[in-house]
Amino acid sequence: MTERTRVARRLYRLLLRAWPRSYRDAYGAEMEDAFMALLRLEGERAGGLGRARAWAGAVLDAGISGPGARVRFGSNQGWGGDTMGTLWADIRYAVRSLKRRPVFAATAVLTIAVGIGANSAVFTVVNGFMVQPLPYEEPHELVSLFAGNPEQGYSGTDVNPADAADWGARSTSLEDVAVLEETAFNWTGGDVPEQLAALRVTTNFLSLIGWQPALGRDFLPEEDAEGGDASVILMDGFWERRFARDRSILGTTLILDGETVTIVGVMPPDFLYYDMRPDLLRPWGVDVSLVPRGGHYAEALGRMASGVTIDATREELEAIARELEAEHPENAGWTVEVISLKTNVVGPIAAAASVVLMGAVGFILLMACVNVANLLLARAGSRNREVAVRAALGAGRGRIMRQLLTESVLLAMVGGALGLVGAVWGYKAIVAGLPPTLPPVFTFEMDGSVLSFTAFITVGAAVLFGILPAVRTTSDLGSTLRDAGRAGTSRGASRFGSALVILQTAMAVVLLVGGSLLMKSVTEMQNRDFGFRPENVLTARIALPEQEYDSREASTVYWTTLTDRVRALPGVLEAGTTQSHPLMGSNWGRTIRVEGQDVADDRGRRVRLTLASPGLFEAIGFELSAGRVFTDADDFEGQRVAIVNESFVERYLGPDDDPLQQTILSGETFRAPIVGVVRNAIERAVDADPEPSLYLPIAQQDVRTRSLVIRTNQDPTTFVSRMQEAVWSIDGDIPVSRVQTMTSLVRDRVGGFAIIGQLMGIFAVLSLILGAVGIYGVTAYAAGQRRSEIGVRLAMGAERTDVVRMVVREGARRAAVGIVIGLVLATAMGGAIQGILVGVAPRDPVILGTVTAVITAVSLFGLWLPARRASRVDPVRALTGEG
Amino acid sequence: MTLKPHWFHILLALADKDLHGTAIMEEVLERTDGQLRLWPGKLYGALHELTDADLIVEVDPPDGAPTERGKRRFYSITAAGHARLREDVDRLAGLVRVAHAKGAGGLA
Repeated sequence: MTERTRVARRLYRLLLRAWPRSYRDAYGAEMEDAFMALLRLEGERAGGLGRARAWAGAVLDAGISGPGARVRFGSNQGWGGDTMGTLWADIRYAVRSLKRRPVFAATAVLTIAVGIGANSAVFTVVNGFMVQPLPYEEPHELVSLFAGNPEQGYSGTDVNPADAADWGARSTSLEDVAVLEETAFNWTGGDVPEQLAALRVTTNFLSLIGWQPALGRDFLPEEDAEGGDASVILMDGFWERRFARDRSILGTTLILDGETVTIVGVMPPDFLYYDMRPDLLRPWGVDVSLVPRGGHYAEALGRMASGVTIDATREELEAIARELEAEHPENAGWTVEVISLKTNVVGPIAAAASVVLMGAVGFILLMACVNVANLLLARAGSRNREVAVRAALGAGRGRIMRQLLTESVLLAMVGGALGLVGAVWGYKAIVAGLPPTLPPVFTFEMDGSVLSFTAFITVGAAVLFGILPAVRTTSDLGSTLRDAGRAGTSRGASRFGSALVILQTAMAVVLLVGGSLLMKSVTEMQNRDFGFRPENVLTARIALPEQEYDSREASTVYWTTLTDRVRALPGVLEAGTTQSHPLMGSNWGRTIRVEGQDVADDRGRRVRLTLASPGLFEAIGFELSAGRVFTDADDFEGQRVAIVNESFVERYLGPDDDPLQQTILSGETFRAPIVGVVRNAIERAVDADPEPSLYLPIAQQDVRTRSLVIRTNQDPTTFVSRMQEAVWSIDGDIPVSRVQTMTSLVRDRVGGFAIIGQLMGIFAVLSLILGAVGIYGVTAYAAGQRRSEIGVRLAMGAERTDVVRMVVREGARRAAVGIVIGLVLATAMGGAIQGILVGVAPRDPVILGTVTAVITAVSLFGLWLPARRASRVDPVRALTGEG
Repeated sequence: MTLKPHWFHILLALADKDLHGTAIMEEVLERTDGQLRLWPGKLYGALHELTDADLIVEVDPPDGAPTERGKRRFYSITAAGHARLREDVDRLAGLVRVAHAKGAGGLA
């Protein structure tokens, strides 16, 4: 038995105490075994989360079945004889006593509702991302495979199909590997030409993830061979959109890029391959194991054999990659990276955000519990008399504590129910704010896990805020009555209050710092200087079919004509074309050398590559800092030329080198002098830093699929149809796809960060309110406890301002301690969220300073209000203990 | 009266062999693809109730079955339990027939 199992057994035995002893004696050992088996199975299925769910379920089970068994077996142990009867009595009594103090009850319920609601809402979303399995067969066995080249700094790169085929064929850890490539085909023959998004797949793809067409058949193994791509399987969306779900299309043909293909199947509507939204699937049309090595352009998906771990798979595949390095010179330096499909789909941002947001709402709930505990504690003072009377009438301590805890549980349950209602609205608001670029495989709903989680934290909250006040109230039953319910000024109570204030202040600091950092980060991102001007820019993707435009010349003529026609449209300021526009998500790169530099360095000279037509720089709004932009003279026959960005100059050129005197080399023959330098632009992603970039004239390369980029003098959306008409005026069969303004592209890309920032902002404000209320509550309570002392001081001639100062000073010391602890914690947290911060340091001094100032101000206000009230007591009444 | 879902699944687990509690839990978890977790309290509560209702009965462990030093109790379905299970299965089968007739469910 491992240490872990031993601890688990011991913990479960504690839970077993919910059942009556006789029942435990009869079934306890078997229940323990059953739970251990369940824990193991859940752990195997879903790892740590599965085990957490098993524990949550076991706690609930104990909470429901345990007392149930006590009732049925009429046990006389533990909770006493007529359990149901006393329970009802307790509940009735609790309801009555809460009704007597509606303001107290409402405050407590609302506070708890806010805490639980925030947790349930965020957990619903996190559950959708992290807990729910992906909609594939045995999804935990699926892994994403990437190529990596540590020496050249590549990681998470697309794979070479032949490499991937070898990984699958030689590995025993992997049962099967599918190779995919996103591509597009021009479909002609419909009313309007359309560019279809397609996925080239090996024919095992669907069976590997455990899906099959709803209509027709899956691809056949023989379709993996040369020419096997004459069949396609349609996605439901495309089938609905263009064929109105007509079942008779099976066996009919489509013309894709001039080739005739047969529709052999249609996928079910709920089929999704995570972030891809293709219109159809088509086999590769070649045996992928025979394609040339060296090129990295495909995706690979593997299924691990049952029971094999991801580490073992990684180890085996890395060994195979080393074999391939030895066999193929092109593979030198290349290895394989293995991550679970789930990790790949969820991505690092959502995973980090889940942790940060769950942490934040956890703090909110803790603060809410602290406030309610504080309320109960304050109320405990005024209840001493009632409790003492009950004790004098013969109620034992356990009996009275049970009564008090029933009240707490009742408060928590009403609060939890209210919170759950709010959470429905809350999680829908969060989901609505998620960026449209999110892979559609995630489902967000209040399922069993969310409800169990909510029930679990509700019970947890009740225990957390109920137990200490209950212990405190019942700790000294005898003396309370003797003192005629006057004071209850136990030192312990005020020490407890101080601890609460320190804890709350610290948590408020952490949440405010976290919220401010993330909000500032989002603002930075939105207002970031992208190095180009996104306003009034329209972009579209256009693909020229190879059949009709079979030469570089034909394609160049087409693109020049199109750019000229678009430029001629009224309102268009400039137009240009490129193989990929900024933030589009493409990541073309090259390794180059600079003439005259040590050749040994050239492995590290990696650049981002953009091919640009004349007019593109002006259309996007790149700013030139030296030299010139590309012109019509930089055509295929002209001298090869290059433009680089400032980051390139900084990284790859010497401090005294004039960039315009340098020449770029690549491969055996490529040679291009640098003719211009542009300012750095953010091109890869909104949270990326500028990287060394190289721009080459697009006319000197052969690029058929391009982005058309248009700068207009007004709202670019009004140009969409005019742009389409310009395209179709040249060739009516060319589709225009992904039409989007640059501003909306930026907004979509920032979207995911924006929702995290907004949520953290809301939580920061909540924490400030809860913290202020908490400080006020504790101070008011402590000051109330000292009424007689304050009365004496006033009677002895102290000024009211002295009293205020005294009360405030004491509280200020606690707040200061809380702030210091909070700052330390916030600094630690800053490191943890660094990965999702842009343009702001995790220890931003302005934010730390401002938060300290705000918390100090709020604390002082929370101290001053009750201090002032305390100073206004009538000494006579305070001393006589009245009113 | 339809059987409670977890009663149904326990009876189904016992339909063809005698099992102990943990094995019932594992069988049901496997069969429902991890969806129905019989928490220990719920499981043993149900076994107790099913025994009271004479739908199952405690039996001696099958020959050679590991009993974990005698702490494992084995259960067997009774004739009444079989009858009750069959009733429910027939009702479900009827529902499936109606569903198919209405064209619901897969592309049959």
